[in-house]
Amino acid sequence: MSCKIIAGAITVLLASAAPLAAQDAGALSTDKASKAHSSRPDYSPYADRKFPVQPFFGDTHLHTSFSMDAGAFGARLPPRDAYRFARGEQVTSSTGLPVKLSQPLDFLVVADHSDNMGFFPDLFAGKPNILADPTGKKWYDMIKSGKGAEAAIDIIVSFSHNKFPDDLMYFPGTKAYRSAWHETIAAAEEYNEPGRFTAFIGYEWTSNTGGNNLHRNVIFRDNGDKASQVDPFTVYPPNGSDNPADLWKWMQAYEDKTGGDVLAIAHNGNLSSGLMFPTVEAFGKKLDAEYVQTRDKWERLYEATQTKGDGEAHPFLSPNDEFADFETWDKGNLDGSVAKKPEMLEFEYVRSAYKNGLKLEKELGTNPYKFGLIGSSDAHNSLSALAEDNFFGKTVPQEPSPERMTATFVDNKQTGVKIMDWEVGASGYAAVWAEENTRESIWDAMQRKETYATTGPRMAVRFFGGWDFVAADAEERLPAYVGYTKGVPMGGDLGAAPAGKAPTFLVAALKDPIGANLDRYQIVKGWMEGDGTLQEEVYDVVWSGDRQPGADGKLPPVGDTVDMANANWTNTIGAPELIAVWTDPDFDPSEPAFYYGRVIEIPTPRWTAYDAKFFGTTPLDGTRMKVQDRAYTSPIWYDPAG
Amino acid sequence: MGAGKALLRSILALAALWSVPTDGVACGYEDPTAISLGVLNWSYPEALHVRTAVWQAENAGLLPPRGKAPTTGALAFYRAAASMSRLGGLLEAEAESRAAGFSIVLIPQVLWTRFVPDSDRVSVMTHAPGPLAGEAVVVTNEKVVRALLDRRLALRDAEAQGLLRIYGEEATQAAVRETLTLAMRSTAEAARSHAGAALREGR
Repeated sequence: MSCKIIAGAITVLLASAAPLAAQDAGALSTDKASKAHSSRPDYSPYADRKFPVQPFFGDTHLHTSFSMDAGAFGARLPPRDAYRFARGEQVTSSTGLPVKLSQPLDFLVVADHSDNMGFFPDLFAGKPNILADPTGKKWYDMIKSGKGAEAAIDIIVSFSHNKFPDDLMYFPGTKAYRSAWHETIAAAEEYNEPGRFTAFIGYEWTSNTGGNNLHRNVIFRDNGDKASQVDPFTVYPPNGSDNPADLWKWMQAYEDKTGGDVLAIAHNGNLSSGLMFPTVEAFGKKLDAEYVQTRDKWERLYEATQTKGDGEAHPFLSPNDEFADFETWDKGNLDGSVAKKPEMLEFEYVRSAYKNGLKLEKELGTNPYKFGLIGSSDAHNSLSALAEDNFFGKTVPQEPSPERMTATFVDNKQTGVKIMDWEVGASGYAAVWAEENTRESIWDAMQRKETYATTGPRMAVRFFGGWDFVAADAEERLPAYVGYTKGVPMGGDLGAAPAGKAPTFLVAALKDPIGANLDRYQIVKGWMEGDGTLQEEVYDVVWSGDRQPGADGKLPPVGDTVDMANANWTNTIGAPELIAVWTDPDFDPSEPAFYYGRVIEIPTPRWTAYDAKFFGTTPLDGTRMKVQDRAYTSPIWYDPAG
Repeated sequence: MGAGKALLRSILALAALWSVPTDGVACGYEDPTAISLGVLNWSYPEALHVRTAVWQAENAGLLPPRGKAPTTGALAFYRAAASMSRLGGLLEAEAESRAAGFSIVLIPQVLWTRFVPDSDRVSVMTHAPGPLAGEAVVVTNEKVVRALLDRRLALRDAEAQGLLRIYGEEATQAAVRETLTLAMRSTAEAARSHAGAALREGR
């Protein structure tokens, strides 16, 4: 292994580009890549360039006041405000704080819960359809007489006892529901500005049976003319279902009806009680070829990091990975009603899903867990504000205040599952290597998995795999040309290995321009041995400074410059850029495998440190005060039969 | 699968994260609920801005710095109830201020107190379920009330700083504003009287 830090070598990765024709969506093979991406031109290296030159950063999972739970907890900002904020405007939060991003996002999906979308604002506004119903009128009067909280509880109890008036149900197809959906679409249409900011149309399907999180965000490639032809898929009967297979049917029906395109992104397997990535059965049905093919078709991405925990790896599953325990939420399911058991973990985390996917592919012919990675917020206050020094929390009660570091988030007395507000993470964003900032281009890049997750920072990360990368490729001034010419980008596939060759990877990372330096770039490999045994290994590929691995093979820590009293740090350690070529030293051409990149920053203050300084709050025992933010690339898969 | 249960699961997934009392809604001193506070932000738009204004005023020195005194629990409740009782006493002492009844809700605990004028007294109903229909509502924080009672903060400044917000019809808002202003004048006069007596007694 060698350490190479080549200043300026990958600045081309961020160069701007003129809009180009969208390339085919889907997985990239070396053949397809070589056809899609031109070789280097004679003089101007940028003329006729046909590959993405810029990662676009955004959030695919943001709730506004249109989500019933967000509204119940005081969120007042509607979708339009969410888009305005993401575009870089200053807004006033639901708790009255002026807030602005350090730099605008490139795209946003307002993904409000599809069930009863828009009910809460209508109730409090006293819309005629609400007041026309005696129960609706009663709730409205309760609210007006200061008994709003009691009204909210009454609403919940009515649901749970099947006493909720039919006329108040915001079912898909009803006028009230459609009004909220069309308002969501209208907001996205208004703020979508091709070339500058992409406002996707989307929603969250919220399957939560038994408190087990199986949520999916549905994202439309299309404009409002198509999206408005349907109503979102919901969970509750008679039209809805809590089974993801029924969501996939809805997605197929949408595409059949409109000729449009949608994809679904699951999240928070860590809160699913081991149900997110099944290997035997799902919803009482044994996994079969149809299941794995359908899941692979619709679920091209997974949200690997967000405010309710990081889902890349778990220390129980990866005991040799010293970076596996990052913002871990492993106490129970979504509502804390089921405590975590170790045997659940294998079916909740990305890395183990990737490994099990190799086995399922052998058994059923398709890998259902061949997804790319993104991060997003799941914030419920319309604010995608996830920088450690500008974190506005997951919910309105968690917006900045002296109390939030010591407040309780989940407290299930029956199971003993208790999670404090300080455990909520300031994470994450989706990074997408797209040709241009449009719905079509970004969505296509998502579909082909040319994406990565960040836990907040906007670092630029490249990851190419091929058979012929050599050390000199990392010294190229324009490594992306080499990457696309000789290999496939993240999300791609490598077929059967040429005789005598092992896969090679060109990796490059550039720090967040206003963020922290980088500690290291790692490659995580998983593979299946001939007898079906699943293995994993984490390789340090390139790192800052002149550190050398110890006798145990571990690279020493990068150091720590965090000034906790002042919530500050210096970039006197780490590296602004990392680039290298790496060859798998343990490659067996007969074994299917996956490889993905993990880029880790130097330690910086966590949001709790900024709060402690600003508010003078004394942290509770155990509060995490530092963080090594990171990025996870979508994998490149190796298939011996490919 | 019943529709109700499915809906509960699907819609209120996040709501379920909190300890939501289902057998009634207690005030936050006993069982803090985010729903109580969140709903307040809809019933009384920007009510939660008061919470932010309070810590901003603490940071700016307009209010005393945050201490270690608990904001929940029995002691906090008694402290809040004492402030409400003290305010009721002032309202009662100032005959002109007994014109209008109103409610105060203290946040973040969502503790309701109704001030009900009678012929010769003002009833202070702490831990009330909420205001009467049409009644003006004051949203503020207990620390703000104490600052007003102690004459460390003027009502108009409290409103201007967003530390106290009055909701209701324009006329009822005006009536409450006048009532509180008179009561605070009473506080000032009492303070001056107390100071004068002290001077006369050579203390």
